[in-house]
Amino acid sequence: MSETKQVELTSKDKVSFKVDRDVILMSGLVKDMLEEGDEDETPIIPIPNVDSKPLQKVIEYCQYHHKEPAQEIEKPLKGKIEDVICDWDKKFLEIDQSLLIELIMAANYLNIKDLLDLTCAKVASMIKGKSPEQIREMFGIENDFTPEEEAKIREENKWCEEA
Amino acid sequence: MEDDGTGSESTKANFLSPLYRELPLEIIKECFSFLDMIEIVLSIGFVCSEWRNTFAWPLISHHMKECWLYDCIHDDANEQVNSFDDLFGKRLGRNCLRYMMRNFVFNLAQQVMRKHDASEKGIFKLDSRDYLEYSQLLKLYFSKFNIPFTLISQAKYQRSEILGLECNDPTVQSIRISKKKNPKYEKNLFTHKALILGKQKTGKTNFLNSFSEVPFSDNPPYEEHSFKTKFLNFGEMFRVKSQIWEWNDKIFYYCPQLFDPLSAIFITFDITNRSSFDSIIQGLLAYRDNRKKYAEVVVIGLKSDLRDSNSVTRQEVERVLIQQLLFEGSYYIEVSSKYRTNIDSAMWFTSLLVSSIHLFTNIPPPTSSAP
Repeated sequence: MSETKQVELTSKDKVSFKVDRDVILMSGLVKDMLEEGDEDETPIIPIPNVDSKPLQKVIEYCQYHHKEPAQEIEKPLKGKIEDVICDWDKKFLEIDQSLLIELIMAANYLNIKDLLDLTCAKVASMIKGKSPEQIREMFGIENDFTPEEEAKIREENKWCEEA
Repeated sequence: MEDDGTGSESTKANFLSPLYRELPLEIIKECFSFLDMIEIVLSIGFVCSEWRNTFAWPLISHHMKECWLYDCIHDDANEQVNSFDDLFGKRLGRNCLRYMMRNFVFNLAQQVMRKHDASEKGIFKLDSRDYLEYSQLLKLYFSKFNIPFTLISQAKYQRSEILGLECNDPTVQSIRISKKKNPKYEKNLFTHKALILGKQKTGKTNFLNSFSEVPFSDNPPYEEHSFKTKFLNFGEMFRVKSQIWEWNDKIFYYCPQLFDPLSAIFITFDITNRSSFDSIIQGLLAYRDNRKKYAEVVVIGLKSDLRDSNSVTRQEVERVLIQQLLFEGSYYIEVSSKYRTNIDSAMWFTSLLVSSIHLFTNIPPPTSSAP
């Protein structure tokens, strides 16, 4: 083995990943854990909340971005997310939605801010331009406004005031 | 599953992923923080009352207090924005909302510009996919705003014509800004006139000239009045012909009819000259006293290349435009005529805005008192 220190991550479904220590330090959680005690040659860190598939993606992300720090994504998003991120990130986000959501949860749990921003912005980009009805469907939410309430607010919403 | 959510039919199935419902609230909120403010109010705020209170209002009120309203606390108690409903029910709230909407249009205009770096001078093209995407967005949000019937008779007439065209030709090829006349578009012409108001020496003439790429001059010859025309072609659908007039503050006393129908007014000041900033209210009043129909007011800060520590800041101007009820949340753009900074953005912004107002806003039928 080379002299780069490694860390072993174990996923919820008991799959192990060996990763360079420098790479996985992007995770705030792992960083905190490693700082506590660092005796072992290859410490084993269990990640009990994350399955192997999203964990694989997380590691992929860290391996690329620990050398190429991600550019901050501006708020509000200027257009579609594809317009503001690098090609590598674009390819990285070509995943189905259940994996995307697992990835968001993983990024949140492992405390990787750039990855959380990227995935949240992806969700925002999908919501962009959707009507309240479409968003309700997406999140499975019931409309609890009465038609009168909605009509009232619509009537009040004037582009200019009458003299 | 590479669909990015622009299609309408194909993505519907995508959105049924029940996993979204399991995301913790703070993460959903984090996602929404990437949206434009107007999207947060008009889309997220209307999903359900919980979302309105948990996501929309906290995200919006934070920004408004921070940027626009923090010194408004001691004002008249009637004019505070303390709840989501106040964004619609109070004039100050409506000003905030309109400013957000205009800001959204400005961001769109900038996206157009960025995507289509003008390789040919003065010509921007937008492919049909982009055009449909942008116009869908504009329609979605502008249709939520009302324009009083009494203020819009002229525009209503124009709208009926344009909507007809929209049905005729759904295959949009390009959007271009061009100075060239093209008889093909002539019958679809949607003319709007714009007027530039401002005190002497604020730089009105150079601002006007920069639209048509007349070279910048430190001392342009004085002209009583002048006008330039500019065409924006939105694909094959319609074309906006904008005439830009320049005159002094007294213009409306002479001949208001000359500018009918007036769609936009640029009220200008010189950012290095505070007294010219103080006078923008007079400029607005000059127009308002004579207002018969609605026209879009855009405040322009000129000479942004000469900015120094004493110059008028963007925050100061925004606060006036929102807190002064008369301005109704007009938008503010800082430009430099000398370096053509933001000139094209201002043009695109105004054209997109004016045509969207005329195409997409809701015009309620006249009340029963009308004949």
